[in-house]
Amino acid sequence: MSIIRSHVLVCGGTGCFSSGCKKVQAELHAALERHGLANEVRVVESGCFGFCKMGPIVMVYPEGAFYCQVMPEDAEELVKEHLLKGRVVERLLYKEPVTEESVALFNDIGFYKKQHRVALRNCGKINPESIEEYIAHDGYQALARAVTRMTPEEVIEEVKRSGLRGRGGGGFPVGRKWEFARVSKDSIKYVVCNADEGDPGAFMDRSILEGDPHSVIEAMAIAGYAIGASQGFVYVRAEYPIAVERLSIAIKQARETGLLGKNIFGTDFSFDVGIRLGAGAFVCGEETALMTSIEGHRGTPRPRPPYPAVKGLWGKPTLINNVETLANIPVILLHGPDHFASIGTEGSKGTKVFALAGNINNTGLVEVPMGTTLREIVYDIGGGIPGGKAFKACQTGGPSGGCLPAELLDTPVDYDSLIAAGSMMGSGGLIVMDEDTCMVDVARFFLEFTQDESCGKCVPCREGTKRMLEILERITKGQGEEGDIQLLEELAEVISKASLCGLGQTAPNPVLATLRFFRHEYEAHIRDRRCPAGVCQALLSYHIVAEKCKGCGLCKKVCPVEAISGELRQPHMIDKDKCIKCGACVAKCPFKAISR
Amino acid sequence: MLTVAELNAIRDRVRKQLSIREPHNRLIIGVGTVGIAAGARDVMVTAMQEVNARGLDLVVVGEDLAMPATDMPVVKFVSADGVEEVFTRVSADGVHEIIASLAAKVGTLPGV
Repeated sequence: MSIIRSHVLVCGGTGCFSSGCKKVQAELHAALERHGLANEVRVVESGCFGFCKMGPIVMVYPEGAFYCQVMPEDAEELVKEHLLKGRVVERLLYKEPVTEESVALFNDIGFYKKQHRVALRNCGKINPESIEEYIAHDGYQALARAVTRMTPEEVIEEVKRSGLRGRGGGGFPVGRKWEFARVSKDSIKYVVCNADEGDPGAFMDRSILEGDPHSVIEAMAIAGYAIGASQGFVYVRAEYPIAVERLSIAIKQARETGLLGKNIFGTDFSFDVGIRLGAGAFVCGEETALMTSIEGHRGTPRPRPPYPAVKGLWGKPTLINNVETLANIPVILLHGPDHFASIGTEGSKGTKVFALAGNINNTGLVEVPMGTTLREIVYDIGGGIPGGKAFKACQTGGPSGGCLPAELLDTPVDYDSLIAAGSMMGSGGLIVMDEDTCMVDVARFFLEFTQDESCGKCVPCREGTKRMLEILERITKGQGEEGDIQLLEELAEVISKASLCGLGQTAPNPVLATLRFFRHEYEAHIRDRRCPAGVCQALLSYHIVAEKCKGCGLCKKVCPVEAISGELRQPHMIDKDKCIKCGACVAKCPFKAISR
Repeated sequence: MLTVAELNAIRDRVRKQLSIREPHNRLIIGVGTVGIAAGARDVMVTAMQEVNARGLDLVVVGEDLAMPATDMPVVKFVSADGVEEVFTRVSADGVHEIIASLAAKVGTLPGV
């Protein structure tokens, strides 16, 4: 008989999968066999731990030792030293970026210390392909409570009291949304989970589906009971294959266990969930476009009202919530709305998951109580800016959001504070930028994205974003003209007011936000033909500072077009006509003698 | 169809298996090189069987304990509230007695 004394959880999220976690698992199995421990130690594939930069991640229980960037060749040492001889393998532990101290335990790592995991509560903790592990963590208890001991109205009342607001970007009160769908009179209604996560760099919904798919299924069933629906759909992009596979397994398990299907817990309530795959269009994250896509048409938005709660999927009342929103629902019903409402701020209850990316030491998913400041996220959790560089701005809210400067680092992260500061929560993308970032180029990047993703149905978005992008491209190429800033602002106003859907209405936000806080950078590009951050290539002009140059000749050697001349131990010169502004000389110069 | 009672039964049964991931009380066996040479592996296997048979809320952990070689095999009990007890020169038979003495302190897992 085998008695298991240790569980080795290997992260099987998309990030760790890409870094080779499957090979690590295979080598761990092989090493356990070699050392006769296969009957004592169980290797479990878990969901995402959120610390994707450190993948593949391996967590050894019962100690809770957290190993990072584990390679297949490390498996033998892990098994021999840790699992056989009880010695933690120091070299594979996480090292804090500033102090360089090794940290053995998950909860002691700076990245996790200030986090409060509600939506991500089971990610990295359970095997997402095991319904039993979900049940062991109180899974489906909230559904049981709802359908056997509460009326639909009582369920909605608890969601309202919790203060939960939509995590997909809009921030609309979830309980009220459920109430609207409840009071719509129709014999057929639908629940839709919006898993069409489109913001560049955002992957919180993918991680929840990969790491805790049952929480979403349970929440959809609760929503179905509350509004009177018996069918739900998860609309997820096909480019999330692991999420789709785990969701499919979870739905099958829930059906086989009787947690989906007819007469759930012996009641009159029946509910089932289907999956609909999207092709990855950003616009399909907009709820009306999403429904159009589920109906089998090209995903384009339609005017609101009527809102989906009144006339949604196939003309029937439809409740749409995103993945992260739904992942909070079982917690609210299980621990009570007051407990949930005790986390966060007055107007923004609970926690928010952010995909932390950009110029920051610790990239990954972070979940923090609403009201946590940007500074805490960037420095305490994110570990600060690499290379000791200065923080310049952070982009919240993805392509629909805005850039906040260093002066606003103490802004609490909640719906209202971010809007007041000139940005928005959005779905949770948080991109950190250092001093070497050109804010005009950032605005151009985001506008290029929204322009590319514009469905083309309405003129303001289709044509307006194109014109704005053209202006921004001109500015970054050194061809900006007086009046360009005013033209951008005018176009932004028209697009915001006249576009059909949220994508168009918010598309100019990155331009408006960068204009608000970094107007001087636009002016430097247009008037002085200068990019203060030294990013826009057309505006760069390299020259060697004679006082700093030691004449070592390294720049001359590395220059691909032989634009640099000079004698050994004498200051060198750059021929500006020949220079292609590749920056190779700057990177090579040991004396920082080349300026741009 | 699944009843609420059946759902609870699954929860309690699997929680027992997963108690390794959230241990309350720990029975640490010194399994460093010296410990293993002195028979710590046998002590550990016996301890695992005994804890499992009794369904105790106690997790057996292997650790390289820094103790004199003459004291090996060493077993250290750490309770949920941090109280420690150390047992030295423990044999496979002796670990039965240790676990029996701890049973009342640690209690059993839910559903046992």
